[in-house]
Amino acid sequence: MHPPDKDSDLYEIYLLEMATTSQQSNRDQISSVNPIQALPDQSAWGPLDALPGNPMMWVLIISELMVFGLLLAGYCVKFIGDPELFLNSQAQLSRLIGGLNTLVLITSGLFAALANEASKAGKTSLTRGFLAITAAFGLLFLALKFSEYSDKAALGISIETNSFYTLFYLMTGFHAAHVVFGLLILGLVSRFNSRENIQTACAFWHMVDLIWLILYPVLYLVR
Amino acid sequence: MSHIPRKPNPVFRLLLTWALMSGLTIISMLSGDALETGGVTASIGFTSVGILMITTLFKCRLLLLDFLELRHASPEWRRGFFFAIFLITAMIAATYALAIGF
Repeated sequence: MHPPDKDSDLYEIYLLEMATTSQQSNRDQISSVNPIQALPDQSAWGPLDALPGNPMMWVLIISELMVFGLLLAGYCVKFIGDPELFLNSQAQLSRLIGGLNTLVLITSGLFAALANEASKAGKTSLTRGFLAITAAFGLLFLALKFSEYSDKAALGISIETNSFYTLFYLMTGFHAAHVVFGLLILGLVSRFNSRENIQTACAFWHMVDLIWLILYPVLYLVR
Repeated sequence: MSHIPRKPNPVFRLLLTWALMSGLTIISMLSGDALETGGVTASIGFTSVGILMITTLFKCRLLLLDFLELRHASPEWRRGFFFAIFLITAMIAATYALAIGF
């Protein structure tokens, strides 16, 4: 269709019609697109959304791995500097108690994982039962750790004895503090037992377990 | 007739993971002479340290896959975590080789 002459009376009517047609066309285009597709493909946590459970817990797990990795790097530097001191100091540790504590934490990890499975199935009382067993093993771990620290204190060994014990108490003490915090979280999620809470608490507990799996052979066995 | 693979029971898988991790811990304890008492300072040797680090690596892998459920995460995340654990164990083994020797 040819537009009318600009000087004619029809030209204004033509412009009005063209504007109305253009607006209608734009509206049709927008409504034909799914509102979700119209938004760019984005999520709040980016790649962390690909991990199971609360992404914030994975931020913590990655941070903890980095912190303990750096502490272990410091241990390695000191070990190379004075291997004799480290071997003699390590010989005073109870390797058996360390090993038993590893088995205790692995078993607590199993019950945490079973609690997670029970929570998936919506079995609240079973979930609570498994969490209670997890916490009981956590308490056993702390009792063994306390007994170990007491034995060392009786021998006059402390965090200031030498660089091996400084790093030993720093790493195992920091880890034990995580176990205490984990027990508090397990208690909280037994009360506020939403699916996400249980999954997040169990992930924290497994992270504590993971750190100990690395600490035990390095601090107690490698010589 | 097509054979449909059965999905393993998650509880059975967790129990199997626990049994494997416990077994690997006992191997670690034996490899590091953890049952010896009386302040042994004698070197266990690079081979035993290697066994210790490999068992540690496998235990961490099992924990990450089954307890932390990374089996259901993307392969990039799995590789990233395994690499981080591998770096730590390799660092310990290298430190031992430098400080004590092979």
